[in-house]
Amino acid sequence: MNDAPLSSPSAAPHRLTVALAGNPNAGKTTLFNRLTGARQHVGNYPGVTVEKKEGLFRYDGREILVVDLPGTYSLTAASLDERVARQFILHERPDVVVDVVDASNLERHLYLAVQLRELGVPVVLALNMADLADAAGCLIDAPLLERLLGLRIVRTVAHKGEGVAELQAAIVETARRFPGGGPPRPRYDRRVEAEIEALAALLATFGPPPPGLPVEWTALKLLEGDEDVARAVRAHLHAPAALTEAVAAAIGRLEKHFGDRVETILADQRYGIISGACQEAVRRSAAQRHSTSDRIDDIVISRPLGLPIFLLLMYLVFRLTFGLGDPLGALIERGFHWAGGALAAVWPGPRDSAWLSLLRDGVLRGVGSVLVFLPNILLLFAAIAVLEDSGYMARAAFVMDQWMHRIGLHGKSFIPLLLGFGCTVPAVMATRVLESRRDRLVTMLVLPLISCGGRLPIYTMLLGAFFPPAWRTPMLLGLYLFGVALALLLAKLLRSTLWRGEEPLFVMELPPYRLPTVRGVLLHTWERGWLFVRKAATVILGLSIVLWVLTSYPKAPAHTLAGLPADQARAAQLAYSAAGRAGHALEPLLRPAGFDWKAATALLGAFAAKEMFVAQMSIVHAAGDPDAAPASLHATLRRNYTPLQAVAMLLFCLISLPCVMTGVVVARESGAWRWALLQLSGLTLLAYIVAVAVYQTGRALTL
Amino acid sequence: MTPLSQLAEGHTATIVAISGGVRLRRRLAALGLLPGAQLRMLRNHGPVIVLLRSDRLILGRGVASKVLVAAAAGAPAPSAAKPS
Repeated sequence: MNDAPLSSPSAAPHRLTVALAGNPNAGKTTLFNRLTGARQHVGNYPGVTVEKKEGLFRYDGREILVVDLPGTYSLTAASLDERVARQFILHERPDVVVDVVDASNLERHLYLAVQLRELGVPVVLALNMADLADAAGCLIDAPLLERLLGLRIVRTVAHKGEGVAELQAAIVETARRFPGGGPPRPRYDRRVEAEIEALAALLATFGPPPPGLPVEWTALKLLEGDEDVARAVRAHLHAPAALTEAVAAAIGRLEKHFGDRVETILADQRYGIISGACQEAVRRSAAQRHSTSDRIDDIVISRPLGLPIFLLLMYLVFRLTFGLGDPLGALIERGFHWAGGALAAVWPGPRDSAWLSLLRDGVLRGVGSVLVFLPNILLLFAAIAVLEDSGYMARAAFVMDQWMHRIGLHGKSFIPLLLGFGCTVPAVMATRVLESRRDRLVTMLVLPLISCGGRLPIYTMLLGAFFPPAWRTPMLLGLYLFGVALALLLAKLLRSTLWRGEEPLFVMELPPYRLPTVRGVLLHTWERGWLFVRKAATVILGLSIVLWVLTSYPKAPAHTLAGLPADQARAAQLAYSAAGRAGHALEPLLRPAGFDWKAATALLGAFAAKEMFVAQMSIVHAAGDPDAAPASLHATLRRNYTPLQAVAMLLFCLISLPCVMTGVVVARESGAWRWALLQLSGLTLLAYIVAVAVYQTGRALTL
Repeated sequence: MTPLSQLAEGHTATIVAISGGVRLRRRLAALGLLPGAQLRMLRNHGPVIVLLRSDRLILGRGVASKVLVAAAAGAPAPSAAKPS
């Protein structure tokens, strides 16, 4: 995989650009991989977090750049994906657009093709899954359909690689045939055409069309009430009132004549062309493709079994991600530990060198803390790829929607929430299964309230030190449930404040079941995993060095440490460091919540990773190795804190401080640091309020 | 004219109107859910699953209640008892 963007300005002038469009589930990704092979680059579209994949292939001595557009059903301004796809075609003017359609579901898929033709670009239709259409008894007269719709058609079976060479040939040939744009766009009812013509003529009087707003298309979109185009026209043509009035009058005339809303009229026109063409060019014996899927669904999403099957599958995903991933992560951790030891052994200078400490405790530990998550993440993405490629994800959304929509979330939000019990980081990345940005943001923001695995050692330490064994399990369960309840409550709250009014529109297709291919799953897993390493590694490395500096400097004067046993010397050093001082400084603020400066210092350390809280507590209390001798730490804790303080600490750790890694991933995945900061400050504030309330109430009741 | 959410499983109906905003109508149009389209109810518990041509579509209950349908000619009325 290549790191540099392939669309560099130095590209050869004879290079062709091809945009790959298509509905989700049409097999676009598979075809993209087949077309471009290994020469790919993954990045983002400018200014948005929509993923942009580019790849190259050579044909006939020419280099062809393929850009994978987001999968969309249409080209309205309805979603970010649709806007991105449309902007790319309008502004980058690809030489050819390849529209990947599901041959056995032609009518619906052609809706996008007709809209692409409206843009005036040459279109090559990849009639994908042609074998399935044949098997279903669906006969498509491709040459006739080509003539009727004004586009080039190639039959492909992407997952077998059939038709790929033909598609490459068709792309080059079509680009050669239509060097300056495609054949004329499809024509609609004469009344619609008359309005388009009149508006286009009016638009032309305001001067040459601004880039990205071809005149006829702009007229059509204005008629359709497209907000984005209306805004662009206002910006470039300075909102002539005459135009606004002309548009309103035209819409009025059309709605009066057709007796329907204008966007429905235009959709109807497009489907009119499609069904006309399909009636002539497609012969169907009987559509049987879904029969097997329907029989599977009679069990998988039936009323009694839907939920148990879903929960079972989620349990398996969970077991795979963490059951198999954690030991692998532990291996990586041990590897880094060993590397730290080896580094110290071969270190040429003195053992207490600051450079050695920086390399070992800062850099190695930092890189290690990222790579420790890698097995979890790869396994998670593999599991998600299997669920998606097999078609089960749509079923999961169906099963969960009735519960999730009560708290204003999409059915699919359940998947990241469940994964949050393992680790928040892959869970945040799993929000990618959600299409709507609002759903993704809400889910991401509440995710840290689902207790991750890293918090378990904290719970075990505090519960073990302060509460009788019979209380521990119910209390632990109570903590987890409290977190879940808070997460759901907060989601509901965010939905009714920050993102009010926008009810989630739950409409999606139910694809037939398919057997996922090993190749597809591996490719998906590798792409996402690599993106994770690249994005997270840089930031996390910097932050772990900062944390190392904060806990190591300034150095305590040597004479104050002289004669102290090793653990007390470490405690003294930590107390003397910036983190220790910050802990002292925070003490007055945290005292109402039952924290002393030592707990505050440990909390700062826990910011790097939740697991660190235990280690820091034991260092700051000079209690020795917590793994080797938990009893001594327990005794120390009991001497220093009351059970009430322990409860306040438990609640604070449950709610507060998403770890650095979560912050980084939320910032990356949401595309803005402000969401990560909002989450950090919001949750910390909430944790503080809850801890203070509990501690002060408890004290008033003299617990 | 009844909301799609009240169409019984196994019954066929034609879309008469969509009583939502532009956003909803556009989204549905892209999937082929337009006035005049004929569909069959496959599952109606929680969200609904309808068959449109050879396409299975999931619609949340909120969305389904905004799609108004009329029983297709010759088919039993949505409120009629068991499907034949």
